[in-house]
Amino acid sequence: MHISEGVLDSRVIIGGYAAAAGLTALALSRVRQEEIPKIAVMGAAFFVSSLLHFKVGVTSVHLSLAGLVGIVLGLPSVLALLAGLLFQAVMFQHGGLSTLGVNTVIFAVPALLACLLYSGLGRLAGGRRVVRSLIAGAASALAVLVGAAIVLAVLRLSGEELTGIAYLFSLAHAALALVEGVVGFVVVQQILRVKPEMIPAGLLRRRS
Amino acid sequence: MEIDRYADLRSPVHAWDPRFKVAAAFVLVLVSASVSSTGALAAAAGGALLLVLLSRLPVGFVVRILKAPLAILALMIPLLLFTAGGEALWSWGFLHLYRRGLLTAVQIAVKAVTVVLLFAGFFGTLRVQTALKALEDLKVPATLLAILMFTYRYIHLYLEQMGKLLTAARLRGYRLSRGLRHLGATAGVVVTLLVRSYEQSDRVATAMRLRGFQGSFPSLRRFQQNAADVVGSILAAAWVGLLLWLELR
Repeated sequence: MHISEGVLDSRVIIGGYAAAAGLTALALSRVRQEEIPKIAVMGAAFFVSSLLHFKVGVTSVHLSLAGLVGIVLGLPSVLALLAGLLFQAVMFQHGGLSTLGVNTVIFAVPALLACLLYSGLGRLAGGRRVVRSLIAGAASALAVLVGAAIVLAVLRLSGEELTGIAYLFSLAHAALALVEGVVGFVVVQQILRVKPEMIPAGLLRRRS
Repeated sequence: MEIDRYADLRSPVHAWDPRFKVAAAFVLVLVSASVSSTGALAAAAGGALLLVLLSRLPVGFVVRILKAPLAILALMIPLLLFTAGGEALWSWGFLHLYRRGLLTAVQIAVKAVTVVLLFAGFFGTLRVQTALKALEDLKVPATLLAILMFTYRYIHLYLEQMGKLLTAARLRGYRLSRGLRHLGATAGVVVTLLVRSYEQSDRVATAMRLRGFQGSFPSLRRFQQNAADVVGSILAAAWVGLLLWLELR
């Protein structure tokens, strides 16, 4: 889902950095010091999971897990994703330094949406594990689609000639959305079984 | 692949004060990725090449860093050539090679290589930890910096853990390439990774509190700039100025 170097034009690069800076500042203003390790380990887990490539049809996709990071961390997920993306660019040249701002938006906005969806609907589901897992799965799948939609938008904004590529890219992500949905469902179901305090429903009010 | 494997060589770029170097890297990467006029693109590419030559990094290392971005370009450029629309240069049945696609492809390729060369020249010549320390002096918020430092440390830890988890799964007959059919097992690996890391973060938070963590990490390293660093920074500023002038002319 990363946008690599050289593709974006100046307005998108600068706009992406501005939006990412805003999100980062907002998240930083809400973070307490004892949350730092949790954010960092989630950032690292996000980084590592993105190395799990597998085949879907003719193309190969890798997990993004943006939705899951959002569901577990809430607003601070912006920081975890920023850190993960920065080191993906530094260590594997996956993404890039000039596109870091845009890429942060591409992952963070879907993560926050997934979190809102999960905490909003999850509260309605109460203690029913399967329902909450299904909501998490749907939120994870939706996160991928929203991310792909943002990619489509920034590619279109960067140049009309990129339209074809942008649509092909979105098509590939429809498949990934399905995979992420299933992974999100299974992962949340198992987490709720072994460590339910990790993802309480009503996460947005979790700041106690 | 460690970006800072050759951080201990000796060259003018290696010797540059990390604070100036990191600041210059960000500005130059952003400006070089933003320009679109032919003159500015050529100047940016030339400058990036000069930087890498000055840094005396081994050619093989730079090529390896270029590999991932080039692989993406190799995938994208053929698509771009045939989907860009506009005036067709060459047609064969329903396939049209577009002029605009060709121009955009060249521009994207030059820009991508330029930015990655800059990246290699700047970040291949200092340790990642040093770069993070430099960010502290550049007034990046302490909380963000702490998150970055922890993330960097845990990435290495989890790469190892992930290797072990995958080995264990493989011994039970799991194959990642099986994709969808083994999706449940892949999710299992992710769950283990997430739950373990979450539990570990609790322990780390406690340990930090016990040691009186105040929001930043004390470090013995102090940066000291000299005349050469200032000259280097003036050159970098002139380079940025030249690129902007060529772009906006």
